[in-house]
Amino acid sequence: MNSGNKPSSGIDESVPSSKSDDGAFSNTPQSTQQHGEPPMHQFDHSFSLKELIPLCADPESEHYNHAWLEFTKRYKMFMYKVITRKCREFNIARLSLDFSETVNDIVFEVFFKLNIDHAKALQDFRAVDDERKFLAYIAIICERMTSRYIKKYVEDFVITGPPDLFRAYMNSITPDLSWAVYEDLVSDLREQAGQRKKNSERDIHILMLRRWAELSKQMILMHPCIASLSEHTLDVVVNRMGGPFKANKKDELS
Amino acid sequence: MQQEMSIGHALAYLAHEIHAGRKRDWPELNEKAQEYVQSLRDRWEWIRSDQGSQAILTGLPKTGCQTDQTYLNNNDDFFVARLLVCRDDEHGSDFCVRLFGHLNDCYRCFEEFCQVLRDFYQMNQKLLTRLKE
Repeated sequence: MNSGNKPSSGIDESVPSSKSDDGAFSNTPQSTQQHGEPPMHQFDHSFSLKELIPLCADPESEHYNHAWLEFTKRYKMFMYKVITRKCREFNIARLSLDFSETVNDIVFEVFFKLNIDHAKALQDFRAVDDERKFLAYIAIICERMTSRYIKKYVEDFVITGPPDLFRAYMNSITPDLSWAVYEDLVSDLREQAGQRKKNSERDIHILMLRRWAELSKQMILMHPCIASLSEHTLDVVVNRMGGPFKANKKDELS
Repeated sequence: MQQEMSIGHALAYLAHEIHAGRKRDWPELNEKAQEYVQSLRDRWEWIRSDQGSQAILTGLPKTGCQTDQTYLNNNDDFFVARLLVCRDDEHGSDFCVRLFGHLNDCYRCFEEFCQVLRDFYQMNQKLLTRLKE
């Protein structure tokens, strides 16, 4: 895989590939076959999905680059569409993310995921005779990768962003998406709390009351289960719970 | 019960009556709203009994709500119990731990809870200011 900003299809584009007059690819001798693969001249037609996936999974194969070229040609625009739609749902412009750069980054990450471990993600797909199911499978991968990518920016926005901007952002996305973001954030906070179980649910709840719901400290202290705490304690809890998110942001910036 | 007034606002009025030790007429409230506050007072009387509060507090789901009808949606009894009756629980009590867990698990209940708390506080402040005048 190429590194760098440009989305990589896993293709070594420095390898020349050209067709002869009879339609055969001339950079590979027709007599050369490896691992029981069909000779190259059989690939002057579009690959079926069933042919394509094993070729994408075998970097030793002389057809590897061509297979990835075909895969990219066939599915890249579809992936772009799915990811673009998901980024719009997340309204990423409000998170101060550059739209096209973000989409490109995510497309790159999806290709990376599809490519690693001998294209395990592709090989895991079973219904190789069904193109529609494969598109649905790719769409799910794209959506999940997009959610995972954007989630860290949303979480950072919740914890460290200006409260009024966060509320404006939450009002701009669908309730279902808000729900998903909420659950992911709580899950991450629980993971971060780890073994420190005592009061962890309380502390997570306090952070969400303060940062997500933007309740004032006085409002929070009307909560019957929190009323015995002080405003200072609320500040300590919020700062402590938000600490790792701020540290991560610092790491990313440095 | 359909009403125009939110549960949080109504509880703030009731809290002031309870604190004053007597019912009050609230001229700014229409008939429907006054009836609602009265109905909450009736619930409060019942919930003050041990049986009443226990029945409500043990009904809290351990995880997030699984159906469209969430636990806190239109659950007046819960808010009467928690905001007006059982206010003295230590934050480490079993019920509070379960409440924290549920609200962390259930986004819809969390939003509902926050709105009630918000309304209760804001109306409470308004009434306090008015009483001082």
